[in-house]
Amino acid sequence: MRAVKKKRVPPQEIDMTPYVDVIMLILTFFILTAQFKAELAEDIQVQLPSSGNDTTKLPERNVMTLVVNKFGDIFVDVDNINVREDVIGDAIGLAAYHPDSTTQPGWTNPANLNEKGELKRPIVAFNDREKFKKLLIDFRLSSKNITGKDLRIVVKGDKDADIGTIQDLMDILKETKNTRFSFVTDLEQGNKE
Amino acid sequence: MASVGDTGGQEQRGRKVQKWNKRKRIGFHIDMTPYVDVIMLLLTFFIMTTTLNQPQVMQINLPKGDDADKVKVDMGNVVFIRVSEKGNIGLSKGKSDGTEEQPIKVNLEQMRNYLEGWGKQNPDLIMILKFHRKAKYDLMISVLDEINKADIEKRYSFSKIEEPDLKVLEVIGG
Repeated sequence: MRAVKKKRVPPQEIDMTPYVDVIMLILTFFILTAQFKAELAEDIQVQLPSSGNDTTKLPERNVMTLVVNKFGDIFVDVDNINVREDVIGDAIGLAAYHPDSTTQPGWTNPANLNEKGELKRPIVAFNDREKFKKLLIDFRLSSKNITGKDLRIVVKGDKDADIGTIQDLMDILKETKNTRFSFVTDLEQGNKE
Repeated sequence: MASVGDTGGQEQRGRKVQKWNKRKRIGFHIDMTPYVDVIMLLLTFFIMTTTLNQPQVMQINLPKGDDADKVKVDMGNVVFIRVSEKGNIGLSKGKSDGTEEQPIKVNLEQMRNYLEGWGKQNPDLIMILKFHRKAKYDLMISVLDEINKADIEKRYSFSKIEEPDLKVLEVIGG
């Protein structure tokens, strides 16, 4: 009796259409908000210091990122691939400079740079302060030519970086007339304010 | 035999088949499962790769650095903030005669309170930041952050640490 009844009930099919609709909406949202950058942040790991008072967000486009790691290396990257190609002749190259001549650059050992211990992008090393200054100026000019917009400069320093390296970098920025820049920080958790 | 040869019967049968086909097409049904699978994969990918929290930035404006920009300041308006290699913060106020008061050893919170107090007394307060080269960047950001939080005019400049500064810092324990 029961078996007969079961046979009569048509196989239950769930209508997936509304489900798919919602998923498509979410998908569209994520596709639209996704930003693809040359993943510098992934390549060179730094522990950002935290601060509680900064309301400005990191600019999204036309950014020159200066990463200072705890070994005292400075890496320069521009988000526009054409600018990189134009200035350092390598579309995925990463310019690096070690201002302190008394210590070894940290990038000689890839294990210093990130957890994986490998860097996907080739490092273009600059050993000379004047050449490095020229590089910063070239980046700015090239970006202005290619995108028509001014580069915005952000400094991403590691918590444990020496202030000396940051000061050297600030001197270089000042000498190259880049007097407006920002320090990237993490928003402080549990901010008292 | 008759039924097979009977054209009329065949016709009827053909019509019947057509009708049945048509009805089946009305109930046309696509299996959405692979479609949903692919969409879910894409969705997962985009969720994973999206960075929703953009980091914050702290805006810094350096002076242009031309010689013409150099300004003479009254030492009475100056506050020196010195940070030693060990991370101690020494706060000392300049006097109008060019000397400065004894440094006070402060933590970040105390520094902000002092600065707020002095800033209220003297709106022309200028802070001169001298960081030891070996001090950590984290501390520099914290000091800048406290200055930004303090309810005063944000006028500060970075300056190199020199021998006399190190001597001053020795007073508060290096």
